[in-house]
Amino acid sequence: MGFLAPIWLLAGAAAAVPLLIHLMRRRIGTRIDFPAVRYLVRAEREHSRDLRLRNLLLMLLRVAAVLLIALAAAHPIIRMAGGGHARTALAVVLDNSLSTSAVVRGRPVLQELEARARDIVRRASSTDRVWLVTADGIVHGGSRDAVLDAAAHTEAFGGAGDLRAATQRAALLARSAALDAREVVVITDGQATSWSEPLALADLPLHAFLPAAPAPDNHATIAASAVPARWTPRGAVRARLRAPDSTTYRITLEGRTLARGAARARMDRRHRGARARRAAR
Amino acid sequence: MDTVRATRADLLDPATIAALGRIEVTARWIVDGFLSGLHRSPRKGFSVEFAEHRPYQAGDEPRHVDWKLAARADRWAVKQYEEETNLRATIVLDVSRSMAWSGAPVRLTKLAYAERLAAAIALLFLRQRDAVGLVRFDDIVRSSVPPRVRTGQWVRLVAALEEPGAGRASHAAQALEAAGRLIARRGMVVLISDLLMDSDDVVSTVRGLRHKGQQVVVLHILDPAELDLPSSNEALFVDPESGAEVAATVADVRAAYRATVRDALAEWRRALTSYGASYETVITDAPFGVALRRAFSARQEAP
Repeated sequence: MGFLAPIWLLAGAAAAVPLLIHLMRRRIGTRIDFPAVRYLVRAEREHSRDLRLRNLLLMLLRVAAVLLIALAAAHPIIRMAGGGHARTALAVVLDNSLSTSAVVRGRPVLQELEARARDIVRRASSTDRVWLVTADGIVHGGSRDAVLDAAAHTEAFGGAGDLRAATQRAALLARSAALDAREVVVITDGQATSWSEPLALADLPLHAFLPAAPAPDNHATIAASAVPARWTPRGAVRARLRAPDSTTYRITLEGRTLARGAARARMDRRHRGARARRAAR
Repeated sequence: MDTVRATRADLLDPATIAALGRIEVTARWIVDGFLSGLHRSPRKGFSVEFAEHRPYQAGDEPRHVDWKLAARADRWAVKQYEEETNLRATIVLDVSRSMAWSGAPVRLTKLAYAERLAAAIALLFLRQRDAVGLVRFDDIVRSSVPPRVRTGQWVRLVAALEEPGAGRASHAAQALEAAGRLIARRGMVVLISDLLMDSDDVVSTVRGLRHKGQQVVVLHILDPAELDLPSSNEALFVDPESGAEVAATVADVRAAYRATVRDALAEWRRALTSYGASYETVITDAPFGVALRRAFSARQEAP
């Protein structure tokens, strides 16, 4: 449990007032002539136990009331499942590299990643700070609705991007906010091209979300070069792909298709080993 | 019916009727109103002799109308009789300081209420040809008017009621003994007090009076605020007689206080009625007619 305004907890010291009033014999200014004082004395004598108990309960209730008011003024925050949370600086890294445009089960992977990003951003409260950083390095900030809108309209770009740099940038943004809690969330399709090295943020919790479905085969073009460099009708294009087996290709230049066909992939040892393990399972 | 109620002084608010005149005057109104409201004539009985005619009033029984006079003089009149009586009554009135108190400015003090009630009872008895006396007491017997039935007794009683009193304490036992001494024969003693005193002496004296054959009627005068505590939050309650002080928060002790008063009244009733005395509580915001009817009922049961 945390407090948004812990200074108000000092007001809890006022609970001592009803306690002191209870313990001290009070001086009463109002005097009332009352002939039936003998009945009053008798009532206090005969019901002294009840009256003492009642006074004690009353004192406890007053103390509890003061403490509760002080507690409420301090804005307590209790982390519960789906419940409230401390003010948080939340930076969401959304992988929109080319590989996320792959269609799995009838829809692009990016769509699922965007939905996940929107889910996370929606959980932020109005007191949180939220940013969306995409793999191409673009940062969207502002209100929660603005970030939700940006997440809904993110498009895949033609390249692998730099998720590592995007994550570090998100960490910088989260650190820059003077809030009680900071979190970085990375939503990615988990392609190996994006995560060649491990990444850890020492001072910030880092959460990563991957699609539930297994990652599609990566047919990404790692390198391509024209030979000769100045294109001629007899020229050739040498390309290197990350494909586990044969794949179709199409070479275009300014929208014009120059060549198309099927390329048979040469698997390197590492790739062969992976396929062998999958087959064994 | 409403008109009759509205014009009967015994059914009006006590403070209102008291504001209209002195004790002597208001007592007459109260008794007149009370008698006109009786369905049964107080003068009914054996050994009655004709006294005078009185103009017919709504509510009078037709059997008392003098039809011969109506036929002869063309006016309706009611025959009034004087009942021979041997009742000697003494009203014992508490005038201690605790009686000179009211829980609200709009109400009569207990003493003012009790004085008017005593005057009305005395007048009612005198009209029945009963001998009525008065003993006023606080810590001592302040004044004593022996029971008489003769003309002028009413004036003496009213004069005694208007004397000052209000000493610090109430010694009812002493006053009751004095009242008993005033009545040589069997008679009636009416004690009007707030009974803020130790019950043992009072009950003991009442028992003595009963053994002598006296009928004892106790009218316990209470202000409504004594039944339910005054409306206040936290205060120091001071007894005007003894000077005793008790600090209390009304909201805290109200329920216990109510229960205690209920118990105390029940104890008084039990103790007094066990010796054959009549005991009635009279609240000072109740019309005088209510208390008068209780005293009158006791009178009717007297020998």
